[in-house]
Amino acid sequence: MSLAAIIFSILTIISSLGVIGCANPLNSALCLVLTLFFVAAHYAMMGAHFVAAIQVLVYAGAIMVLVIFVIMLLGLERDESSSDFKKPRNVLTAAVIGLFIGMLIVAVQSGVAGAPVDGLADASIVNDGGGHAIGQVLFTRYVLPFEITGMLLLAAIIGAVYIAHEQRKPLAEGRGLKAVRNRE
Amino acid sequence: MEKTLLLVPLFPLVGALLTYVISGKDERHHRMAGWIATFAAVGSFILTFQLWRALSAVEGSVITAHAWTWFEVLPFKVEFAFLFDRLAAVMTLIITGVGSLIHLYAIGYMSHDPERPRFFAYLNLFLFAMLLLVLGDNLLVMFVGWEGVGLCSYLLIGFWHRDMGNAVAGQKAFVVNRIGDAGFLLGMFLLVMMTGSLEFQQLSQQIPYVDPMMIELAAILLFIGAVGKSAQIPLYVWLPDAMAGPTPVSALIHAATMVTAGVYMMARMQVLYSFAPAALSVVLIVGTLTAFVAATIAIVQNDIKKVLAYSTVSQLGYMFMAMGSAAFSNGIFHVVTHAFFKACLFMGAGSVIHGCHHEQDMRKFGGLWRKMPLTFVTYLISTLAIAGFPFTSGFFSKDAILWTVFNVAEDAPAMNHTVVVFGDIPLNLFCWGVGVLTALMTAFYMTRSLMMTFFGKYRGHHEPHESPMVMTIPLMILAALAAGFGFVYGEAFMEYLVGWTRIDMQVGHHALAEHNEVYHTLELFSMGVAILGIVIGVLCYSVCSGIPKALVKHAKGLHNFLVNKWWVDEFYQAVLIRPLSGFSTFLFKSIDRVLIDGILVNGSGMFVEAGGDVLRRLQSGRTSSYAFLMFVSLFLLILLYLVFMPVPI
Amino acid sequence: MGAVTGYLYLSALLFSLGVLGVLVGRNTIVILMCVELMLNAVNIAFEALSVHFQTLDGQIAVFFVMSVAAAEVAVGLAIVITLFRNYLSVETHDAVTLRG
Repeated sequence: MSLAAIIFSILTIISSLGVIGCANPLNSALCLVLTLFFVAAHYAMMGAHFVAAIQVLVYAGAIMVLVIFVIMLLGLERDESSSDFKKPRNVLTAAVIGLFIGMLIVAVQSGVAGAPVDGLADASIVNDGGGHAIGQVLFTRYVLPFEITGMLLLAAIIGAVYIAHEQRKPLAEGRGLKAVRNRE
Repeated sequence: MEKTLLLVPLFPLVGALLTYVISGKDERHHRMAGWIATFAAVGSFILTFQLWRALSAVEGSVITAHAWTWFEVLPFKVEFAFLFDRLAAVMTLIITGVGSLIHLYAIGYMSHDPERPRFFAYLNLFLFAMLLLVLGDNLLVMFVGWEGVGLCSYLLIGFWHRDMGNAVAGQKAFVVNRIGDAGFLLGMFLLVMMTGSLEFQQLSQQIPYVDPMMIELAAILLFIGAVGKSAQIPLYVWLPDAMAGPTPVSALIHAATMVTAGVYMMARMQVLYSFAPAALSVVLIVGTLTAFVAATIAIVQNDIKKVLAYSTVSQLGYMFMAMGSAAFSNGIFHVVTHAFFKACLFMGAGSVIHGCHHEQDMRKFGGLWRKMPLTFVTYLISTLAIAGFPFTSGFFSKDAILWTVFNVAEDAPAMNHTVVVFGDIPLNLFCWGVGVLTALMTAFYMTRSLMMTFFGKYRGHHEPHESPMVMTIPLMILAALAAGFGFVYGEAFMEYLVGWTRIDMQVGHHALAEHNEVYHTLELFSMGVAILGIVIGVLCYSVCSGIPKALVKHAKGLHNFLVNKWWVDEFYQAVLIRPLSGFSTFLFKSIDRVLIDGILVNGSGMFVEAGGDVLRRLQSGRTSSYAFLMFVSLFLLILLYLVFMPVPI
Repeated sequence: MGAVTGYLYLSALLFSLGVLGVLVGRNTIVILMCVELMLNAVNIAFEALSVHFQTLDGQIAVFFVMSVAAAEVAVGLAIVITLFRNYLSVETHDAVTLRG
């Protein structure tokens, strides 16, 4: 793994820590955007330029923008009840995650992934960073999943519109946060 | 003829249904109840008569009828089939004949009872069950009838069930019967095990080849059933209590038919018993003791029905004495004569009770010979018969029994009465002696009841009157039979029955044919005993009326002992019923309440509730908890995969 | 260490961080974003192995994961908006009415 790759890896990890650790959700979103950029950088370093471009365009460009839209729309702010990592529940969770990471490392070590430890082949098979080849395969061998994904997107759009449709009824008595908080 | 045989038990069954359905509708129809039932009984009798004629026409024949195959568990097969041979003919004629007369009588006796339809339906049902019992061609069909008569007995004893005492008496009869039935069932099981069949004809062929120990055991077990049904010691306690039922019931069930079922069973299973001498000794001893004990109790009874009840137990003892001496046809002869005179006696007592407005205490009777002459004459004749007055039918049958008991060691080589009691006296002589003593007592107490009821001055408070013809005609018929049957038909009857199987002949034939001096001497002796008993009874209760009172005063302890029926009921209560009842209560409190209700039922409910309470906390409503659990599961799955399915490099 | 192994380690680490974020997070939208993080980690693994084995199947997988992620985010945000409408909050500990 080249030096650049290592540096970018460290940066990715730092920014993902930012995603989970920021108090303000907007900050979390911005950290995620950063993480996505770094991941795109990884893709580029691997030689999959097309995928890298798609990553930036779709993921960072569309999805994260949507998320930030919603955060701004809902007016979410830095929240008071902090999810601080000192709570015992969270410590336990972190410990379990630690074990999980350990297990995965052991898995990779023991070669379960089946990949011989090898150098990364160059991107020669993916002629132009992958676009041409991907397009060929996508519309021949993978045309069925492609079409289905289209349907999936359609369903998602319709579903999202329906779910988020504005309710005519105002917030009634007994609903809302105050009511919920009072109930407890 | 086969169809006719099937119809014989069917008539009363249908009669029972019709009686209940038709006459139960409303008050006006109640009158028909008795007549429908009686017609059914009479119809059965007519059919039986025809069958008997057909049977007698051909020498050595039997009539069989097959209804259906009950069940088949190969190689064991049980058919619902009937067998009509000489023994069955005799029993069936008695059951339907005497039964019809009693039905007729009951029309008069129960004429004021609002629940007549139920009564007559039960009465017909009883006939049906009894006919099944005697007509069945295998032990299992007989057992169906056996249980059926037990059931009807319970229903009829407790007929006036609103009085708790009657219901209890009915229950007592049923329960005590059941104890005997357990023995009967075990006997049946043993027989099936040993021979693979319950059919009488097959058993007769196969029993000689069975292990003698098993034969003895089966014989004794079946006898236990007879002890329950025919009220022998120790299971006789239900019969006196059964007097709580209406008098026709006592006449039919507890005098003429049901109680003789045990005797009939032994006669049917002759082959079995003739190969079981030890069992026969037991039967003889039990019969003798029962006859004696019951007679002692009858002497001091004041209720006329109770006297007759204990008398029945005593006479049944005689029948078993005959059976125990392998003189099976003698026993059946006594069944027949006993049916005549005992039914007549009971119905006569019923007539008196009816006439004195349901008074039953003999101390409140007296001088009724003027007011109820027909009843008196019939009762007198029957009393003479039961006492064994010369030339009555009772004399012939009882005498035959005593003779065979006396003679049994010689006459039946199969019987090995090497049992001795009191040092030197052989068993059969001892039993003969006790039998003679009991005959004396029988004559005495029956005369006592006659004198107290019909002679002297009327000591009651009512206006006695004679009973209607419906009731007196059966009395007269039965009295005539009781008087004349023995004299006219006695020998022919014995020949008829004895000719039925070969086993009997050894003993039965001797009973009639051996007219030697010993026989004549004993005959005269029996006559003398009977007359002596009668004379003592007459004197004690007419002229020297001081004697009984003096005896009571001087022998207070003995008198008390007898009046309290030898304290048998109390003994049972203390030794058997109370501990059992206590044990049952204990079980109820501990196992039923604590274990089953508490631990198993409530406990499992509470366990599920508690478990639910605990598991409920998993549903916290917090999505993060759910996600955490999902993650942990995922973790474990991957772990399992890595451990057990490593991909080779 | 080989490049692929390195990328696999990175993927594992990112994935675990994503899981941690989902389990610990209190803001629903943050949780959604951590799910995206997990998806990206998986994408990295797919891509690295695809290039290593010289096959395009992995890259196609990346494609489809991205499309599905997009659809999922859209619907997820719609749900968040509805949640906000009913509880006036998107904190997870405010929506516990389905308690047992």
